[in-house]
Amino acid sequence: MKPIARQLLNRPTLGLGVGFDLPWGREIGFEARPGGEEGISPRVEKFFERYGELFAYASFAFQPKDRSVLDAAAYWPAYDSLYHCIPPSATRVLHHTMLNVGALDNYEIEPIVEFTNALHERYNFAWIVEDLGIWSIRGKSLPYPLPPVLTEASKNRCIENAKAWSESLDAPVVVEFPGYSESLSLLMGDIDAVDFYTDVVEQADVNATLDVGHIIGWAWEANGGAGLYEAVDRLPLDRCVEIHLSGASIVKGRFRDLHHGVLMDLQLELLEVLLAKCPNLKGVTYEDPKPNATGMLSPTALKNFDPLVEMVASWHKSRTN
Amino acid sequence: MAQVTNELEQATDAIYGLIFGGQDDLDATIEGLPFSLGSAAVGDLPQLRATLRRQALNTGVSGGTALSTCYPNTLSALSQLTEATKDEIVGDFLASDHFAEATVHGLHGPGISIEEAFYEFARPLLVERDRWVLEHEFTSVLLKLLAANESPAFTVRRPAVRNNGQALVAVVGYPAEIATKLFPNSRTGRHYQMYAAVNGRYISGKVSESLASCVLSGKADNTAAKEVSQLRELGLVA
Repeated sequence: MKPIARQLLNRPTLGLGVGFDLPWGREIGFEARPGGEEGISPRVEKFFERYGELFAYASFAFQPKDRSVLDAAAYWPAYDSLYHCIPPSATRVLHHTMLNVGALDNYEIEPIVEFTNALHERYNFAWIVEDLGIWSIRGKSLPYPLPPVLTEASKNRCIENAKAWSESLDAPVVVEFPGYSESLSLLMGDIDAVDFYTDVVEQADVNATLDVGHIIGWAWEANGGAGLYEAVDRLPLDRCVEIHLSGASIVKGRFRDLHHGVLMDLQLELLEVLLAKCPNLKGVTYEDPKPNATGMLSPTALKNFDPLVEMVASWHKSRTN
Repeated sequence: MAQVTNELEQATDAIYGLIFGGQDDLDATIEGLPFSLGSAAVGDLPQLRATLRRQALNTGVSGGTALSTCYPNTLSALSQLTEATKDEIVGDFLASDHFAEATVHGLHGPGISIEEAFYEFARPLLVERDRWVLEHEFTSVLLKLLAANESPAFTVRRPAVRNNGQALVAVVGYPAEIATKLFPNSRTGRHYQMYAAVNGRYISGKVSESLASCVLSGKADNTAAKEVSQLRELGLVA
């Protein structure tokens, strides 16, 4: 394992984290303020006021603010305001959306490397994560990242891509199991997606994030739900540093990765299995909460959020004692 | 090595065609793929394409402006002329070489904006009268984009946009019969409409012919001194 990947494994266990996708100009995201300044929206601010102390780390997904040439300094006022409302003790994680590890076409990585390293220098991310997916193709971004094409040539390219990012970025790069969602992603190629992912992570020598919903989505979309628990042992469990949970649902036998804040019982069941099987896990991220105007989660979301908090606290206690 | 590169390029083209392809025979496209496609994916493709078309129309695809917001009248004109729905028109645009040429962050080489790509896609399909509507909608959205992006990652192909040393400007002279429909303040004679991006702001308004040359050159002359000083206050001329 690369020194930088090992360094991440040596970090102390964190516990529960929260992840937000923060687009510009939305209720949950960044907003323009009077006087031309940009800052985090009141909903996110109020969410952290209410629930902030529950989280040992906070992750946010990068969203371009405009169509200018990438310039990290242009993002500082907004990102500073975000970190102002998060407890200073919270570890920081960046969820990237431009690494495009699953892409098969060539694109210029240098501007993204420079941009990301400048962000890291200012905000000191513990790691940078991105799903193993095709986020854009021939320069056009997609509404939901496509899972990689499951062929040998594609796998070799994904390994090269992951290695290139790992060598170029100053923070450890963590590759996440790709998402499979009804009508938004396509199952392309014949290699088993779990084996494909494990090979990429191991051969690129990076750490792993396992998104519980993505694994369930793959089992449903590829096999109608069969083979879910059998697949767990084929995942790179010893390299897993982070687990993601975001709102999802199964409707008429099809999986929907909705990111609406409401977790399914099945997600908690799979989480319990993974907590016991990932020896180097650092944290469990509750992704994309949907707080209301006062920062509160809905009763529907709280139904499985409260058990999540308890489950992670109990795991964290067992790891730190 | 060259064979692998070729295989990856082919796969990329195939995925791009699957996602952004037009109203072609989907079965034939799937048949020609260099990789297998899961049975659920085959069924999902029409919905995925529909999602993208809806996004392009209503919220903007790949970071572009929603086409229904920036080209409302052009879309209506195209729909009337071609007897196609707006959804079908957008589908044809996404499948076009014009869209393929556009860039969002400039990471795949230089390219024009999605908005300019739509302009180039729509122009040959329109009759003379509607081209003026397109001209107005395009110049307006392009200067708004340039106002919001000081260092745009896209290139601008349209020669009408000039850097006058103070601001990015364009002036379009509309025939009277078109102008009365486009601008409520238009009366008789040729109507000169100025569009500008200056200090992060978008400004547009009617100007006289002499002011139009001031705006394009960025230099004030002695005519219409009051209006010139207004242009100076706006930062449009020296």
